[in-house]
Amino acid sequence: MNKSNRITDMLLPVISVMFVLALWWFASSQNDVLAGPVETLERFIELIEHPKMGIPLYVHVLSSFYRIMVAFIFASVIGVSLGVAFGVLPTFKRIMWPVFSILRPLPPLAWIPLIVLWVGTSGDASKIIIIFIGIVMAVIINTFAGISHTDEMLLDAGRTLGASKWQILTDITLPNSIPVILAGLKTGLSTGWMSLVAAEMMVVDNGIGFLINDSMQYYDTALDFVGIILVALSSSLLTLLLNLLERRLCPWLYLQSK
Amino acid sequence: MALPSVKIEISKLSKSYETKKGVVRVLDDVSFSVYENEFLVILGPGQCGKTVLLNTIADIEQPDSGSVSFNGDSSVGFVFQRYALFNWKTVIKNVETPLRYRGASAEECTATARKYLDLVGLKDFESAYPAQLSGGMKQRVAIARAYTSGSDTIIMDEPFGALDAQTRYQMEEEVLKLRKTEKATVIFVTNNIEEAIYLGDRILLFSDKPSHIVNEFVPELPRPRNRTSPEFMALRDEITAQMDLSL
Ligand SMILES: Nc1ncnc2c1ncn2[C@@H]1O[C@H](COP(=O)(O)OP(=O)(O)O)[C@@H](O)[C@H]1O
Ligand SMILES: [Mg+2]
Repeated sequence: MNKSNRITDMLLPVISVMFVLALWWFASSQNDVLAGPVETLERFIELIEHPKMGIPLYVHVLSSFYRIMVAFIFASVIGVSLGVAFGVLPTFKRIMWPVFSILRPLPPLAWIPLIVLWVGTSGDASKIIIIFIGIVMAVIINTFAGISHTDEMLLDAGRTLGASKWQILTDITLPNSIPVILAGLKTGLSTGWMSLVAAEMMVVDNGIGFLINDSMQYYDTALDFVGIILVALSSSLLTLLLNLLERRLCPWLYLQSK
Repeated sequence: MALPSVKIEISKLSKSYETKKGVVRVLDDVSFSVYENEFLVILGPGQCGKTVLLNTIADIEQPDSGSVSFNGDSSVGFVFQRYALFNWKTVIKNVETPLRYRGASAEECTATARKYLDLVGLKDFESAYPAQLSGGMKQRVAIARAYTSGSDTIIMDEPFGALDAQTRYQMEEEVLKLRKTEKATVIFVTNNIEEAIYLGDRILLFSDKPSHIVNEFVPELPRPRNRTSPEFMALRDEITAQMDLSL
C-alpha cells in the first residue's frame, strides 16, 4: 500500500463520522425535542457529576460489561461444546437438531417472562441468561458449520498419519474451525449487546439499558444518546479485544503470502 | 539375485460409484503386486481412477470387491495431490504430526522432523506457515511429513501435477535422492509419461475407466536417466501409442 492510500484509509472513517455528527447536529437544530451532540456531551458530564438515583455512571457501564462478559464466557464454552457435539455425534444431532432449529430463531426477549418467573428480577441472573441465549445460538451454528465442513482430504491426511478419532477432532477439525468459531463469537457478541440493552430495559435496576429506558420515561433524548454512544463504544472495545485474540490464536490468517 | 518379495498384493479390486448419470464403474478387476523397495509408477489418463485406487490401498476408501494385503506394516505415508497440509501449523509442526499422534517425546519429534526437512531442503523454513510457501515447497513439506511417519510404504498421488516444469524436474530429483537414503516401497501416480519413465523401476499403464492394467513396462535405462536419449524417447513413443489406443 502506498502512502497516500494509507492516509486516505485513515481519513475516510473520520470523515464519515464527522458527516454523521453534522447530520445529527442539523436534525437536532430543526427540532426542540431531539438533543444534539453538544447537549449529549453536556448531559454526559452532568451524569458524571450528579449520578441518577445515586448510581455513578461507571457502575452502569461496569454492570453491563460484567453481565455480557459472564454470558459471553458461558455461551462460548457451552456453544462450542454443543456445536462440536452436533458435528461429531450423529445420533445426538438427529435427536437435538429439530429442537435447536425451533429455538434458534426465537428472539431472546421472548424468554423474559419465563426467566423472571424462574430466577426473579433482582440481581444479574435474569439478564445474564437472556444475553446468553442471544450469544449462544450463533456460536453453536458456526462451530457446527466449521466442524462439519472440514475438508475431507485433511481428515484423510490425519488418518493416514495415524490419528485417533480424538486426535482428528482436537488436532485437525477444531483448529481448522477456529476462524469460523471466532466469527460466530463476533456475531454472537453483537446479538448479545442487543439482548443486553433490551433485557436491562425490561428488567430494570441498573446498566446502560436502564439509562436508555429512563431516558424514554422522561423524554430525555440526550440521555438516550449517551446510552447509545456508551453501547457503541463498549461493543467496539469488546470486538477489538476479540480481534486481538484472533491474531494471537490464528497467526496463519494474518500472513503475507509469498 | 533373490526373487523380489512382495510388499503389497492387490487382488481383483472393483469399485463403482452411484452418480446422477447412473452407476460409474471406476476400477475393473484390478490385480497387481508391489515389490519390496521398488519405485512403482502408476500411469493413467485423468479421471481414470488412480486416486480411487491409491485411497483403497491406503484404506481411506473401501472397494466393492477384492482385497489389498500387506506383507508386514500396512501403514502408508501418503502425499496428496493437493498438499493436504495443516495451515494452522508451522512447517516443522506439520512434519512432526505423525510422531505426535504416536506419542513420541518432544525431542524425538523435533529431531526427526528436522532430519526430513533437511533432506527435502527446507531446514531454513521450519517456522514458516504453509501459506507462506510456494507450491513446490508445500509439496516438499508433505513429502517430509509422509516420510516422518516411518511407514515403509510411501504413496504419492500426482504430487507434482500442479507445479511448473522447472519445479517439477527439481522435485523429481528430490524424490530420487530420498530413495538413496530412505528404504521404502514407493507407489507414485502420474499422468505424465516422461515423469513415469524418468522415475519408475516399473510402470503400470492404466486404461481410462472402467480402469484396468493395459501393460507393464520396466525401463532398462541407467540412472540418472537422460530424457533425450534415443532409448528414453523410444519408450516414450511406445507408451504414448498404447495410451492413445486404450482411450
Ligand atoms: N466419492 C465419489 N463419488 C462419485 N464418483 C467418484 C467418487 N470418487 C471418485 N469418483 C469418480 O471416479 C472417477 C475416477 O476418479 P479419480 O480416481 O479421482 O481419477 P484420477 O485418475 O484422476 O485420480 C472419476 O470419474 C470420479 O468422478
Ligand atoms: Mg487423482
